[in-house]
Amino acid sequence: MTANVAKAEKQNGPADPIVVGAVFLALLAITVISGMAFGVSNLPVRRALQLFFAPDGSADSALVWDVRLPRTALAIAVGANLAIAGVLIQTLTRNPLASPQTFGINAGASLVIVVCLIAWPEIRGAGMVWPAFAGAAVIGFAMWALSASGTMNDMRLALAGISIQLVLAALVQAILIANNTAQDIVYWLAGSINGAQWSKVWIILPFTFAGGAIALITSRHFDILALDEMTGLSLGQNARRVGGLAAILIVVLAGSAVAVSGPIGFIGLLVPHIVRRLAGGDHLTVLALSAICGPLLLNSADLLGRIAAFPAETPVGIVTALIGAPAFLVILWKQRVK
Amino acid sequence: MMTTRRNLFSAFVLAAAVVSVALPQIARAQDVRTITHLRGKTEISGRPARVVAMEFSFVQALDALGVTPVGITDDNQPKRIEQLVGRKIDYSSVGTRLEPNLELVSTLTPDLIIADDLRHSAIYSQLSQLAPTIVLNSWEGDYQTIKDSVVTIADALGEKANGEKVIAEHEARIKTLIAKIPAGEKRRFLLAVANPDSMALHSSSSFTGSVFKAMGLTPAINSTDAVESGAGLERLVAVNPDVFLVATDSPGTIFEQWKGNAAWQNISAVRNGMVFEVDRNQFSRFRGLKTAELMVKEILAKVYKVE
Repeated sequence: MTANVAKAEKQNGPADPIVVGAVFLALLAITVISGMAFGVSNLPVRRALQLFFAPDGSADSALVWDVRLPRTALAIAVGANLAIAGVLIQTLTRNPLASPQTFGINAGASLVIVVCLIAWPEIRGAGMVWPAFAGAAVIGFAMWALSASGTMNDMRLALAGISIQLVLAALVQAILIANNTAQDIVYWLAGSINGAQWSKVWIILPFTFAGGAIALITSRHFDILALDEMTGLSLGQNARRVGGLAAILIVVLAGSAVAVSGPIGFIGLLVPHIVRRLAGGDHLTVLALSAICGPLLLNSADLLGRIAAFPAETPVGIVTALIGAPAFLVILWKQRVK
Repeated sequence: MMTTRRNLFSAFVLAAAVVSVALPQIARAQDVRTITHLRGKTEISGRPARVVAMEFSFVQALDALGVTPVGITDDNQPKRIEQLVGRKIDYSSVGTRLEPNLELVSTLTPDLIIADDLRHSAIYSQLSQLAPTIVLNSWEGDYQTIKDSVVTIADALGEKANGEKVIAEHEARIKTLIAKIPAGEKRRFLLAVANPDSMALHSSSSFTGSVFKAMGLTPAINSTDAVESGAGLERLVAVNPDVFLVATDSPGTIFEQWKGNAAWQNISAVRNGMVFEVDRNQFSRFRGLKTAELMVKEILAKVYKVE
């Protein structure tokens, strides 16, 4: 399998999507098992793995099944959501620099959540999904309108998105400074899955499954949406309707991810590029592979975050930023060369 | 030439003699004291009456010494100050502890500013231009540091003896309280602040940890870092405290969510019914003599069921 990939890379063309998918899945399985095996407690790796495959109801077993597993499951769901949302937003805006983060959608969701948390501190868990959707939707609509107006090129649109994100981040900071109790959520704002619980997994999972399934089923429409508007029109596509569907999916996927894990950046930006580069192909392929690559990337970043400042944990959002920012610069550079 | 030099010399000797005789008297009259603190030495004369306190623990120290500060960085939460000193006091807010409003400080024309090492060292020179400023360690101060600070503040106020008396009385009260703790206590104690997404664990070098030690109790985490923030449930399980105090100040913390987790049920303190919710202001924010006494009383009442 690895040999195949190596061969494909030598040929310098896109590899067989099925092979790429298999490799992603194998790597994801490794990160999942590592996630079960390693943690801040001194539970031996061998015992942790034994318990993972054969739970015995002991305290250690609870640690593996009720602390480590929900965390990994959350990383998978959030990673898939952000990656799929990233593919869709890049298609919808026909902009390779688009992502839930760079277009300010994560920040919009965060801002509304922070405001709601201060106004109604007892809102937790599932209650945070709706404000997240509202914030994501407002910013998502604004960016879509800017994009659809056609007055901006890729780079300008990306800059507009980053400006919006900066403004929203500044507002969040202003709230944090003005309101002492809000400072407690700094950890959440960095993007973290440290506080994972099964309850959080159940909150996001329906959106992951529904959003992911709808995106995959309707993927051929996105193939046409990615073309220029005239071509889409001549092929008989109702671009407005397909665009609207994509926008709703982006808001739901990114919003529910922010609600459970805070704004985690760079997954939505990088994964579509990695997948297109390795396998390419139509939207069905890219979406399906992204749904595996996103969890793989986020899970790896989370593992790194556990090791980096042991026994303290680095929020995964900081790890993805540290890895993602240089990668973002590379993408920007390639854009320029084109 | 020679005469001029001799005249100059004798003038100098005369001047020196006058100064050496007069200086102690001037000093006594104005009572100039040099206070050594974390940012150097500050000369303070007379008895400062308009004091600005930039941390809760300083307000508590001033209160113990019978002084009401004119300005407090109260984080715009007057209720908290009321809880801190146990009654409504008349003061002006000068912003938040994180971002003190220097303009408001200057309008109060203070004659003493007490600032925190971690949060205000960067603005020490600006503060010093407004009034004599002393910088003490409150944010990361342990029990002994906080006690020493009371004496330093008393010294700055020109009432060092009073400060020492306050400490002696406090220590006597604490001693009586601690005597009620059963001998041979071996359990490991932990205080954690519950945030919405994680907990901040207080170690042996935190204020609470050092109060535990002063009580003869064992802190569950031994560390030179006062606070370990962002701790997840797995970390808490690894620390496995026998007595667990959870500091909260609003609903919707991770504490409520963890209660339903099977891993939580296996923490020693949870198994033995030794988990207690405590007030976050008293157990984490305030850090003072009264706080220490209140903490000891609350631990006696909750853990040992003695009043």
